[in-house]
Amino acid sequence: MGYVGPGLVLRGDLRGEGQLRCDGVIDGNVALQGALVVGRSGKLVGAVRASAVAVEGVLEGPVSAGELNVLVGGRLVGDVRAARIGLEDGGSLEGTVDMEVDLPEEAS
Amino acid sequence: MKKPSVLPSGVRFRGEMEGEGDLIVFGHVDGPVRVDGSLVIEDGGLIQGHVHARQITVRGALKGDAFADESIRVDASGRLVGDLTAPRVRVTPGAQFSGQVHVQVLESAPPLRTYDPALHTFTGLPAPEPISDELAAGVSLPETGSPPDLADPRPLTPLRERPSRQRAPAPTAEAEAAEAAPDDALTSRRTPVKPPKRVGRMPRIGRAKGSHRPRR
Repeated sequence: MGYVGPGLVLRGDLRGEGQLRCDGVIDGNVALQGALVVGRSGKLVGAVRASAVAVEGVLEGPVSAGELNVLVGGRLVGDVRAARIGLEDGGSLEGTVDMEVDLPEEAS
Repeated sequence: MKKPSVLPSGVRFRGEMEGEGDLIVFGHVDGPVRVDGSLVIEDGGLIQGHVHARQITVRGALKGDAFADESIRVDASGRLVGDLTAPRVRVTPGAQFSGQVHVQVLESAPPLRTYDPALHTFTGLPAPEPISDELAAGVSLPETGSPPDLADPRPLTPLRERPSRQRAPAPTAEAEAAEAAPDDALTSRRTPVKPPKRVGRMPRIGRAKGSHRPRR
């Protein structure tokens, strides 16, 4: 599992497979075939595309993910496109969510 | 001790890495790296860019100059094109190495910071040349299907325009081709060594220093 420790700063684009946890700073885009966790002390500024994203720290940028979870203390600023979204009480989300919604026939 | 940062195999980073702590590279870094702890390029890992750390161990490939405040170690599996500068340098027989060796104390932090990701050059040092097929063979990323593309299927709108900040250029055809190589080196990958004990803080990056003397 990839790990960006606190105090480490990455400026640039990261792509590949596998899990990644960021407790440091990533200033750039991230594309992962796997899960991305932005930890409590972590900050990510850039577009994110991953199979799953969990935000415990700060994420600023558009997110495209199979599943997104903003956890307690997490802050996400950006538009979201995801199949599943979880926003915990105590987490913050500022942006537009784009998700497939199956309304009952009467509503459509 | 702080948990080391890890760039796993199968992951490629284009840009600069800088900061505190230790770093272990199994994947591919295209750009300069500076950490105040130890830097280990594991077998199968590749850094194309100049590196500066307290201690540097090369078991994979490095194309660029290496500067260490304490020591540089190139193991038998290491492949290195670039100059080595450190108070203590060890090259194990079997390693492939092309470049100069300067066994000396770093008088000041090497100018890695002046890296321009857009131009992919360093103003302080000549930019490393593109990775040759020879160097890339065996250290490239494994074929894992197509990685997710940031521009596909629907382009993500940037949060805000940042004209002052330039991004690294998109991977070139050569770089992409270099990635599509066998992963034989990955099968022989070793377990990461425990990073050496920290013995104090490295002076702040970018400031001249002369206090680092090799311990005898």
